[in-house]
Formats: sequence, C-alpha cells, structure tokens
Amino acid sequence: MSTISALHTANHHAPSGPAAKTNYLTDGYSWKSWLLTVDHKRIGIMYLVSVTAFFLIGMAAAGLIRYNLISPSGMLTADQYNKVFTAHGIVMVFLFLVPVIPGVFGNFFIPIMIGAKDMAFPKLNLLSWYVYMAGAFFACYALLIGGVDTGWTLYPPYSTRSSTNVAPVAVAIFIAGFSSILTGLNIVVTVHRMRCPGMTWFRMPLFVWAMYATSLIMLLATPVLAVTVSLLAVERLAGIGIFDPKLGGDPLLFQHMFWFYSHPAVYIMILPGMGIISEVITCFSRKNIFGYKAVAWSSVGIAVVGFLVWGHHMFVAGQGYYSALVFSLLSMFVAVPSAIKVFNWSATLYKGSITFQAPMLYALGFIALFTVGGVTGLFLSTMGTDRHLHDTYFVIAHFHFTMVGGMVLAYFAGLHFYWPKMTGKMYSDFWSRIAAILMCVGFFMTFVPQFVLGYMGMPRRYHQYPPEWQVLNVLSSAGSTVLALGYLFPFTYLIHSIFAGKPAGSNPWGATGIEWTDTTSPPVTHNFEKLPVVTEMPYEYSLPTAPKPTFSYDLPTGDVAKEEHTHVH
Amino acid sequence: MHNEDAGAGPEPSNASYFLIYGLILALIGAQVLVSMNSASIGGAAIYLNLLIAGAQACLLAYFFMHLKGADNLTWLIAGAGLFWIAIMFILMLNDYLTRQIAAY
Amino acid sequence: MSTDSSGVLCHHFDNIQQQQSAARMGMWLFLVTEVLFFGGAFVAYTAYRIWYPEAFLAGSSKLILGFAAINSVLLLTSSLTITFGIHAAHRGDEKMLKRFLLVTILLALVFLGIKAKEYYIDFQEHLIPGTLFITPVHEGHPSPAEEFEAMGVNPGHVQLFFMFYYCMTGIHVLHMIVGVGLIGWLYFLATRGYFKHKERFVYVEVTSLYWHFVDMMWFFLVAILYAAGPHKSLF
Repeated sequence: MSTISALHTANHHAPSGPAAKTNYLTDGYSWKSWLLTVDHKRIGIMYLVSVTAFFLIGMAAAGLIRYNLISPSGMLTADQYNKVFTAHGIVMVFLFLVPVIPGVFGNFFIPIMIGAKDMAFPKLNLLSWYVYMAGAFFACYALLIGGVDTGWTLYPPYSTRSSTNVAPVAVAIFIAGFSSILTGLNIVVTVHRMRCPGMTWFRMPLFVWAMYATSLIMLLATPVLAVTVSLLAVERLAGIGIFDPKLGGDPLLFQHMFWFYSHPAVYIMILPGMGIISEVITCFSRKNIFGYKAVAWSSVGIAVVGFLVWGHHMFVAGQGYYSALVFSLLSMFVAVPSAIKVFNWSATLYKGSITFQAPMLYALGFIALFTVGGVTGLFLSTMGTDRHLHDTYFVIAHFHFTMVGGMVLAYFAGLHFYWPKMTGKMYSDFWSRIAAILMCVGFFMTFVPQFVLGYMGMPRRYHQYPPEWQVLNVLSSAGSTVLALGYLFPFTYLIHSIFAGKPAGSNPWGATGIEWTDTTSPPVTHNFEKLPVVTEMPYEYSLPTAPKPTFSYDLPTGDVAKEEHTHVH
Repeated sequence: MHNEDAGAGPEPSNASYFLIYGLILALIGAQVLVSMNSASIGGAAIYLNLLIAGAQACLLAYFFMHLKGADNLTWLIAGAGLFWIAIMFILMLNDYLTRQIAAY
Repeated sequence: MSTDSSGVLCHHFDNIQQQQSAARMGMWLFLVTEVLFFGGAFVAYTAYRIWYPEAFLAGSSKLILGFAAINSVLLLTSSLTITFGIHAAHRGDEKMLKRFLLVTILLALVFLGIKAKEYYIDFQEHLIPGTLFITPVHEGHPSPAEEFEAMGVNPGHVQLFFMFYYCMTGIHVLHMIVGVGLIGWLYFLATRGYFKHKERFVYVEVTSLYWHFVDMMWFFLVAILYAAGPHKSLF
C-alpha cells in the first residue's frame, strides 16, 4: 500500500512535536492488518474506498441516462435505457447513499466523538463491511450478466415476469440491508453504553444525535425491506407468489411494504448529512448552534414521523382514497422537523464570523438546495398536485435536489471537513473551493430544468420525449458534465494531499469537540492518549477557551504552533 | 450510567419457571380447543387465538426473557418494537379495510 | 461473541458489566429487527385475511393441528431447558450447561423432523400453489383446487394462504436452523472451557433471548395458520 508508506515517510519528516508516534494508519501495513482489522477507523477508510468505487459506477450510469436524453428519439434503445436507469437507482441508493456516511464517518468518528476506544462490537463492525461488499458484488454481478429493467423500485407484477435478473438483485439488496442493520445496531449500543465520563446526551456533538436517529431507522425499517424482497425473490423463483393478481394477490401490497422501508430510507440518507452540516456550520461561523436541543430532538422527530408517511408514493397507484388522505396529512407533518433544522442553521449563521472554505461552501449549498428540494416535496405530498406531477421529472428533480443537492453536498462537506483529521494532511484551499463551486453550478444546470420539464408533463423513465422539450433536456445533460467534473476534482487535490499536503495538526479548523481537541491527526489506534473527561457544553466557540486552529494556509509550513515558536524566537 | 449491569434482576427459582411453563402449556391446549370448536365459536375464533398467542408471548417475554427486573432501556426497546409493528399494522390495514369503500 | 487474549474483558470495554450490558442490548435490538421482519409477513397475511376470510379458513382447515400442537410443546420445552442452561453457566457448571444445551438442540431437531414430515404430507396431498394444486392426487380424485371450489371458496385465494404458510413457516425453520447452529456453537465453546469464567453466562443468556423469540414467533404462526381454521380432529 504505497499510500500508507507515503504517509509514513511524511510523518517522519513532520516538523512539529516529538518523533512521530504510530497512528491508526501506520499501525501495520500488511493486507491482513487492514482486511482483518477491528479498528473502527480503518473500517471507515475501507468503507470510504469501496463506497467511492460504487459511486463512480452509479455516476457512469447517470452519464448514460443524460447521454440518452440529449435526443428526443433517444440515443439508446428502450431496453438499454430501462436497464441503465435501474442500475443507476440501485447502485446509488443501496450501495452509496444508504451506507456512505454511517459507514465512513459514523464508524470513524462516533467512538471518538463520545470518548470511546472503539465501537461496542468491533468484529460486528468488520462483518458489516464484508456483508456490504458481498451485497455490492452480488448487485454488480446481476447488472453485469444483463441487468434489470424494472426500475430500482422492482414493482410486481412486472418484476415477477420480467426476463431480466430480478432475483439476484433482490438477494443483493437483502444482503446489503443486513450490513445496514449491523451498522445501526452497533451505533445504537455504542452511543448508549460507551460514552466517556461527563459525556451526557446533551453534550454530544449533533452529528452523533443525527447518527443515532439514522440508526433507529436502519434498525426498524430495513427488516421490512428484507422480508419484501425475500417474498419477491420467492415469487420470481417459484413462479407464483403473494403479489400475483392471478391468485387474487395485490401488487399494491408490494408497494406498501416496499415504501414502508424506502421512505424512512430517504431519512437514513439525509439525516447523517444534516449531522455533518451542524458540525460544519458551527465551526465556520465560529458560533454555537442555535437551539441545540431543537436540532437534536428534530433528528429523532424526523426518524419517527418519517415512518408514518410512506403512502404518498402510491397516491395514484390504487390506494384507497381515505388511506391516501391520511398519508397526505401525515406527510405535511414530516416537513416540520426538517424546517426546524434549516431555521436553526440559518440562525446559527446570523452574526457569525463566517469564512468560506470548501466545507462551508458545501454546507451553504446544502442549505439552499435541500430547502428547495424539501419544499418541492410538499407539492408531491398534496394529493391534488401529485396527480399531475407523479411519475414526471418533477419527482426526479425533487429527490435529486434533496439527495444530490442535499446529501451528496453534505458528504463532500464532511469529506473536506474531516479529511485533515483522518489523513493528517491538508488539501489545496483554492482547488477545493473551485470544486465546490463547480459542483453547485453543475447541479443547478442539471436539475433545475427538470423541475420545468416535470411541470410541463415529461414522464420519467421514458427513453424518448416530444421534440419541443429537447432544449431543456440538452441543458440538463450539459449541466451533468459540469457536475461530473465537480465530482472528479476532489480526486485530484485530495489524493495529492496524501502525498504532498502540509501536515494539518490536530485541529486545523479550530473546531470544538474532543474529536478535534483531544486526538492527533491522524488519531492513534486507541483514539485517545488520555481518557477524556468532558466538562463543557458543545460548540462553545464564544468562550475565550475556544480551540484555536493549528493550521493556517497563510503560513509556509501551515503549522501555527511552529511558526509562532519560530517567530517568537 | 453506562456501567450499570443492565438486564437481569435476581434470578427466579426453577419452580417458578416450571409454573410459567405449565401456564403456557395450558394455553397451547386452549388454542387447540378453540380451533376444534371454531364451528360454534364462529368469527371470534381468530381473535381468541391471537389473544392466546399474545398471552403466551407476554409470559415468555416477562419471565423467560427476563423482562421482569430488566432496566428501563430494555423495556423501551421491547416497547419500541411493538410500537413500530403497530404503526405498520394500523397504517397499512387502513388501506385494506377502506379500499373497497373508498377507492378512486 | 468477543474473544480475548488476556481474559474475559474485551479491550474496548471499561468493565465487565458494560460488556455484558452491551451484549444484552445488542441482542434485544436485533430481536426488534426480527419483530419487524416477521411483522412484515404478518401484516401482508392480515391484509389478505381481511379480503379473503373464507378461503383462508378453508386452507387452514387442511393443515394438521396435531403436529402444530406437538411442535409447540417441543419448542416451549426447549425454551425451558436453555433457560436452565443459563443458570448452569451462572454457576460455572460446564457439565450441566452442556447437557441442557444438548437437550435443547435435540428438541429442536425433533421439531424440524416433524416439520419435514408435515411438509412431505402436504406435498403428497398436492397442497402446493401452482401446477400441483390443480392436479389430482389420484385418478378420479378431485384436485385440491376442485375440492376448494366445491366448498365454495376461490382456489386462487386458498393458494395465497398456502404461499403464506410455506413462506412463514419456512422463514421460521431457517431461524430455527440458525438457532440450532448458535446453540451448537455454545456447546462447542463449553467443551473448550469457555464458560468456566462465570461472567460469560451472558452469552448463553443472549442466545436464549433469540431462542425464546423464535418460540414466540411459532406461537403466533400457530394462531394464524393452524388454529384459525376449523379442525374436526387433531390429525
């Protein structure tokens, strides 16, 4: 692993502090020390690498979708197009959005944030990664041997009769779901049982609250997906099943059971992102979060209320009118806790000392784009307007605004915020800001036209469309190339930073939290040299004892302590 | 708080386990009786059976699974399981009970 | 189960109570996921039961109540024996622990044997949804589909019932096999002196939690699949 050797060499030349101690990256270089590790930080890095690989696959599928839509008659055949958008959905939802932040930042930072040496079940943690990889490989296998053309939602009766490889995909989803359950279980037990002295629930970073709420959803919703895809797989393999209208079965039953998971799943995807935003916004406005308890409880609120709304995916599918009404009303309620968060983040920014490094740019983009995505959801939860907008590009724009403009931006915010802590290296300030701006611009160009197209009635999942909509589609496809550029940029400067980045010091951003103030960058294997005892409230940026940054872009070596030392003498 | 031994209270005696065993055994018998007389019981049979199964589950959980004497968190977890399954039942069956009356 | 190189306490825990309490909490959370897993199937069953009550009752009447009752007794007894196993582990008494674990496994295997026999009888009677259902068992005998038709219920709906029967009892059987595996693993550990340390009783306890849950699920399956329908006799 040359990356690790490079880090090792770099640490040896680190100017600050005593001789380089071993950290979790340098603590063993063999394949076994990584593949059989029980260190939550190494498992987080393994998730990072694998999740990134699958993100690239999902991106490729997205590229093919936008490529097809530059021409009204479609550049691909209908069959190919069906397989491509199904692949995009399955890979992005199950192999990227659901596992990314819990697997990468959840695993890496939750124990450190609460002052523990590891997760509650370290071996189970490693198992969850292997199970994820097994599910992911199964999914890729299914896609490679011919793919699936049902859409990622796998609705019967088409999915039970399609000639494509539905059963392997169902099995893949089942396996990947198991990984999700194991991660969630680990996180809940860790947060309950492994907090260090003084770390009460209301002193924890809001990221941990968000991850706890996410884990509740992972535990409670995923098993229902598991039983649903199992029953689907049985129907596929046995040729007969409970969703079969020939026997009097109800295809809508599948949709009920599927969306019982898949709606809370979108909160699995977004809540961790919201946790990261709370961390970034406070740090880069040097201000305490406005309304800690409101933000903390709203995470739990989103988790709970998110379970009550799934029927809004089925307004035009044949649900009873009365049932649809109940779901519509409940869907209005779920917007409230999300709105609370957006208000509180905005209030945190107000009169803060704001700086615009890359993490903050991503976070600000998140607030704007997620808010748009969120309010457009209300159009869809209103039965009357949904009748017009359902299965159009409006829906696609809505969930891409929340998932890409929201969640993916939050992920990149976290990646840029935590990168110096995880690697000990700082990346280029200039290029990271360029990437953030590129991403926001590209996103805008790609998805705003889709709102217009959806409103005008362009259906989703169709490989052709009337020629009068070509301009907007081409605009969207052009935007997607800018967006893709924005995604690929971080690969360059982040990887470059591993080899040639300046040492970041333990707290480059001057952030609060024992993950910044009580650990080195990168952390040592057992996380803390000394067991932390927490006496302060979180996010106390206004106190004179607030942490100061250990890194500055303005200094030649970046190291604040060293430069001050040199300067004084 | 995280250092407390969550879970078991004082371990019950063997005799009390046999007693609960006997109770659940009796309930199995009751279930068989209900099924063999469901002609006379009619539509209420299924509800009676579910009640019996529920009683068996409660006895099993409270005594065999040591919910008795367990800490609040364990009760919360068990309660959460029941609550969430209730959500699924209520909201899903809402559709199945009313669809014939109120379809589009 | 965590192993350790230098004792009972795992390196990332501060004390043994924390380790034991984490193990219990982990298993209870896992059981909640299992409640939701089985629960999904139960809700689906209920949806169709609301729509097709007569067909489901008719299908249920074809299942053998006696086997279900015997299996209930077997599984309940195994719950008792594994609980006594916990007491043995509490005392560090590996000999008794092994005996109780063995009896538990044996009871479970008898359960599985009876289930296999029952499935075979169902197969012989062609009570399997699909082509078999509409095929007569013997020449001149009506097929199950025709039998149900004659009773006045829709044979398609009855096949739905049987799909649930096989899927739900099948999932239950899989859980029992996993349970037998877990208890077997405990037995293996006991042969290696693992449970000489009394603090490790908690691992028998969490396995028993899983096993009691499997028992609980069986009671509900009996209630909705077997006992729901009218039965004139046990066999």
